Amino acid sequence: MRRDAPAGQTVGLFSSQLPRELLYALGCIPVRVFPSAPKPTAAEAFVPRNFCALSRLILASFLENGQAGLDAAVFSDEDDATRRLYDVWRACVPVPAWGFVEVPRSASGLAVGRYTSILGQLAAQLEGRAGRSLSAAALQQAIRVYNEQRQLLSQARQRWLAARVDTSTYRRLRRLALTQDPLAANLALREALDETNLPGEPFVPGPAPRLLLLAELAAPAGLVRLVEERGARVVAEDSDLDERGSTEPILTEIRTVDDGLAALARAYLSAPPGPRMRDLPRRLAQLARLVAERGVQAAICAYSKFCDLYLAEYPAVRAHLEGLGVPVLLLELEDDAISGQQRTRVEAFLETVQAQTAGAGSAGRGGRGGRRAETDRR
Amino acid sequence: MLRRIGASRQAVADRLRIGVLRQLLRSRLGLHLARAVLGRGPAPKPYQRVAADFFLQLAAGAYADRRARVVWANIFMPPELFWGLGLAPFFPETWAGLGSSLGLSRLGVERSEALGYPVELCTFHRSSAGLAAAGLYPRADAYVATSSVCDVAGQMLAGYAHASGRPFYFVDVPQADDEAAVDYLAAQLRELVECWEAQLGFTFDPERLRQAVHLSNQARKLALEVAALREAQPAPLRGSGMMDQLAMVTSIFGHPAGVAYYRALRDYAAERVQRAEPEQANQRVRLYWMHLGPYFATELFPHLEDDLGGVITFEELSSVWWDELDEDEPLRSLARKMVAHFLIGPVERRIEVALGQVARYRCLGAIHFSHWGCRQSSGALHVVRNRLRKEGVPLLVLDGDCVDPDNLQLGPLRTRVEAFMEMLV
Repeated sequence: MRRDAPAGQTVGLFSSQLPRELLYALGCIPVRVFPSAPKPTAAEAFVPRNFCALSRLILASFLENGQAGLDAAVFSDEDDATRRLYDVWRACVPVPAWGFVEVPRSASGLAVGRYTSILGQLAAQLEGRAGRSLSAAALQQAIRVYNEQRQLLSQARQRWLAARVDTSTYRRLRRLALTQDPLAANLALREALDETNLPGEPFVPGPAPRLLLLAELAAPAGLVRLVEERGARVVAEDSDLDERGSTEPILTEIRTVDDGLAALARAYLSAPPGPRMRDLPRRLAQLARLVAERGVQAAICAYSKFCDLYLAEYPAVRAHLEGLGVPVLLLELEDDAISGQQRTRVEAFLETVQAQTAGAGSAGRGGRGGRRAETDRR
Repeated sequence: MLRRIGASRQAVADRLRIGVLRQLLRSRLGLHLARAVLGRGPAPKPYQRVAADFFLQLAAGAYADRRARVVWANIFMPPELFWGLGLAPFFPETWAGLGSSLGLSRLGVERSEALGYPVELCTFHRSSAGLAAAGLYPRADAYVATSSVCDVAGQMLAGYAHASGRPFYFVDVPQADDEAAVDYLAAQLRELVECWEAQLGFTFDPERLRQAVHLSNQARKLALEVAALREAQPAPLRGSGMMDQLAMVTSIFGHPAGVAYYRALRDYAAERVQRAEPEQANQRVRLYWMHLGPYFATELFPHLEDDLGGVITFEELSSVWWDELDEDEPLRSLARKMVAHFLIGPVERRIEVALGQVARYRCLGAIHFSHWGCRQSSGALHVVRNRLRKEGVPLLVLDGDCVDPDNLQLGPLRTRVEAFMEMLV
């Protein structure tokens, strides 16, 4: 599939619920913004020290690296931190903010209608910026490109769960899909899948303790390495990088732009919910599904420090997972690095889980003992 | 050993206090007694008496009336809706503030830690969770929260609802304030009323809601008169005494007590202006106060006001930000009120309100009290400070805690306030 436009402007996004198809159909390359700065130091003059660590890190990345490859950014109503980041960004980051999109917090018909209309307004706004009009054909083509990406990512997940792709490669591919031109990303995904071109098989849990990671944007690579080096296996990651991405193919039978926008609105609002939707029953059901399907034995909540939505939800998530026999460790992270103290806590947690798993193994299955969660307090 | 005995005594004292309070709050007689005592207390101002009576009525409805339909809500739900539907609202954040003034916040915060709430979260909400767990909050028949302004409130109420198995409705408040946003929000309010009719077992009476909106409009008119009287020089009211206006603005509108309260406050302020008898004698520098202030007793305000002559002429959160409500379209006008809030949307909305009030009240400077854990209020202070400075208004940012006295370092705050006042004088 080829794009019929010259290489477009790269536009940064801050939400997994903002349809990339819309920007792509207007000739832009939508990319998810990931932090690149190791420390939030550069942001300290602009946001308070007790501000969401992920947002501080993102701000620091752009303060240190200027445009960092972005021509523009489109913000969305994710949470208090993103709203305030949008305010500060416009004052100090040399990347223009092309808009602030309100993403409804429900998948009801009412919310879908509202989001369709908001996406229409965004399209009108972006048409001026991108210098082209949005057509139904372009939108249809963009949806096809991303549908193909969803399919490729689903296959990659199956290969990863079947241990034919290692965790770091799988996560690299997912990140690539979020941060690259979708055609280039799809090509890279196809190549990676060709290298592991074996028929898919259902996931069979191995002997290593199986972990669920919970994070906002993505769990830190260092944490994933650490847990796998210590003999555990990450089998699910509830984050924007992985499980919360829209997974179902989106309807491509589009006659009008409005049809396409409505299909996008419906699909993105129905994606597995993060805490911003405040739909705890649906969110906990999603976590329970992961626990059951992947045989999860323990969970680590790797949340950014001062990230309210996740931290306020944590007691409910912990109680629910413990009720399923899954112990939980909370890490509150300042940046992508894992401190010595956090490393020790992760190691101690894994040792306990491994001992429990071994005990359960010797006493037969069903030994997920519902032990108390450990909480990292710094 | 001695420390252990001390801690154990404290625990026993806490348990006793909780037990007494729990009984008092749940007993009609206890509430009647408290009303009587407050009514005859050490010369409370007339408007304070109305406020105390209103909150005790609120408590009676939520705690002691078994027939009442109690709905826990965040403070950005329009109170007119509750009064207009005949529900008993309970605002956990407001009661956390009240708990702080009664010396209960330490207990609330400690209990919340045991429940797993990280210490990085706002102490209003942590304290609420702890006080609820201690049994100091009433039962709830349903929960409701808006997405506006504060992230944590909705998350906490969703959590309480999930834990108790009671219904929860989340009102998604748009960031825009245009007519399409009002349509979207009004449709949700209609849906919410329908849900509550089914879940709580009552029939919606449009006339009752219209009456609540009518009362709200009357109270609003009086509140605007109070705001106008506060323009006077010298300032008639002590600003630190007006810090609790947020609790009134977010709960009393639509209730008959709202009209009585603002009438009493208006009359009191007018009398002070007329007699040239300001509450605060030492008035040197007029200030605008942003966000909240400590709810517990602290030396910060006496030092600022009496020692240094700082006059808090108006508080950001005392603002009446909405236009008159349309009695013929109550739900739609409540939706319009909700989206019009200046803390929703880009920070420029908040800054415009601040600049307007600084000019109106002839303030020389502004103070922002940054409550620990409140990201929405303090996240964009860099932008607020720069814009105010550009307009010639210096801004002092004080980091502290509204609820937890252990998280307020008075020494550094005094020094900063002193330096700021020296600069302004």
